[in-house]
Amino acid sequence: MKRIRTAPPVLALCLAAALFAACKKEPPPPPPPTPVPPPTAVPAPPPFKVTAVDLGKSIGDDKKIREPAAVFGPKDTIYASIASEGVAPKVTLKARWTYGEKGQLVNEETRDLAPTGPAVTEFHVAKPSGWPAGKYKLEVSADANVVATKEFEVRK
Amino acid sequence: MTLPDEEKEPDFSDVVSGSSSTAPAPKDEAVTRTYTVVAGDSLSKISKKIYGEAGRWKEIWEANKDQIKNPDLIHPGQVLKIPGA
Repeated sequence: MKRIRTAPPVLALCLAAALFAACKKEPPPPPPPTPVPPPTAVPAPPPFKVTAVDLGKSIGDDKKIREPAAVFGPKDTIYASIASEGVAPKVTLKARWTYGEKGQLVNEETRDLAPTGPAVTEFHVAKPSGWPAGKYKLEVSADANVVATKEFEVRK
Repeated sequence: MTLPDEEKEPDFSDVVSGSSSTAPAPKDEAVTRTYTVVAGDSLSKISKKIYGEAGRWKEIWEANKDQIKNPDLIHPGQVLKIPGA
């Protein structure tokens, strides 16, 4: 009697698994990564700088000179309005007022600021007993660097 | 010897001054203003100029004790810290 050999069950299982694997659908490839835009460089804040210095006899609420002047009377209060722009954690503005050819010191003051954009700073001087007639000069400095000078005159 | 009137330097010790700004002051800074002494100044004169009253001269002295030993003796050119101004 001829024996019919049958495949052992283990082999059949392996074949079935191989067939199943062959028929199994390949998973879709992962989507390509979304391109990340290159980091946009945050522009550096503009550095502090003085843009204008005006002199006059009065200022408005915005600290700007109402009417620029270069000649003053003995009893006038003299205002200097300093417009600036830019950002700085700390900047020292100085107003130095001098008189005459020799540059006699009339007044010198500083003010520390932390500007965050356009700003206006005013300095003012007055002399209750009256300004001597003559020529005067205002020197404006930012962090010890002279950034502007203005000359003016007092007439009797 | 006295100088002729036209050669005498004017006295600016009674000059009154001030300042203000639309910009904020730096954080953590108790003193944001300085004043330079001119000829004829005294602490009470400076107090009057800055605060409008002479009696606050001690505040200026206290803030500047590192450079002012005698409050009756200050010198032109000294740069004083002005507290609370």
